[in-house]
Amino acid sequence: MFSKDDYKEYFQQIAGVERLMIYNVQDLLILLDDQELKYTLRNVASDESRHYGYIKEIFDSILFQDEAEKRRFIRIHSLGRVKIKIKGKDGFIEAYCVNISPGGICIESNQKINPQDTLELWVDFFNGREPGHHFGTLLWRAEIGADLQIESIRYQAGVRFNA
Amino acid sequence: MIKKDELITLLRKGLDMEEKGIPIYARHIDKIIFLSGLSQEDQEKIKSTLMTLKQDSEGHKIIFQELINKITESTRNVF
Repeated sequence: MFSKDDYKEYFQQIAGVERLMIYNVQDLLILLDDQELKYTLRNVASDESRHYGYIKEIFDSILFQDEAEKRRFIRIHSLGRVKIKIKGKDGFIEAYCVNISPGGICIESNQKINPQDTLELWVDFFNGREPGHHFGTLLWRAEIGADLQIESIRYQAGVRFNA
Repeated sequence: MIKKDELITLLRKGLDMEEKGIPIYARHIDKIIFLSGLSQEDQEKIKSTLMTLKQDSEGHKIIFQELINKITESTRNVF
């Protein structure tokens, strides 16, 4: 018999795979000029976004239905690209937005950011949602994706926006 | 604008992800015990979602492979 935690772990893994697919296709779309290729890949991107919606629906209606959102702020699961500047360091870090709320953002990246780093973030959503510009502090970081053997994303991290 | 080599690398990455996704989606589709703790309605929903993900990934795998072949054969260097 599978427990609810088993289901959650399995569908978190699937959600992770779908996010990687979305990031890869969106990275291709932003670089391409060829309209025919863009048309084909936009259809793939649309499928991947629909898939991610199905997984979120399973989380909301089956796996987390009895766990009401206990957070102070409701998270919006809008994926997007995030450019990050770490205070006191040169250059930028490229990351992706997993979810965002008025209080913070969850990001994924293949580059390491350290807890307590002070960050400036520019968020550009794939779904056309209005871009955001925020300042915040990294609260936690976890290594992810080792079980998928897909190298592109290594870290997930939570950033609290400065008041 | 993207160079041919870089484009092929990203398309291969897409193909690789689809290939790795298919067995993950398929892992539990036909395992009755996997879904047995859920209501009939939830079982149907999960089974149907996993089936859609698997079938679409199989289709995407073909799309990525065809694009790789087409671009590899192309004389163009940027796209």
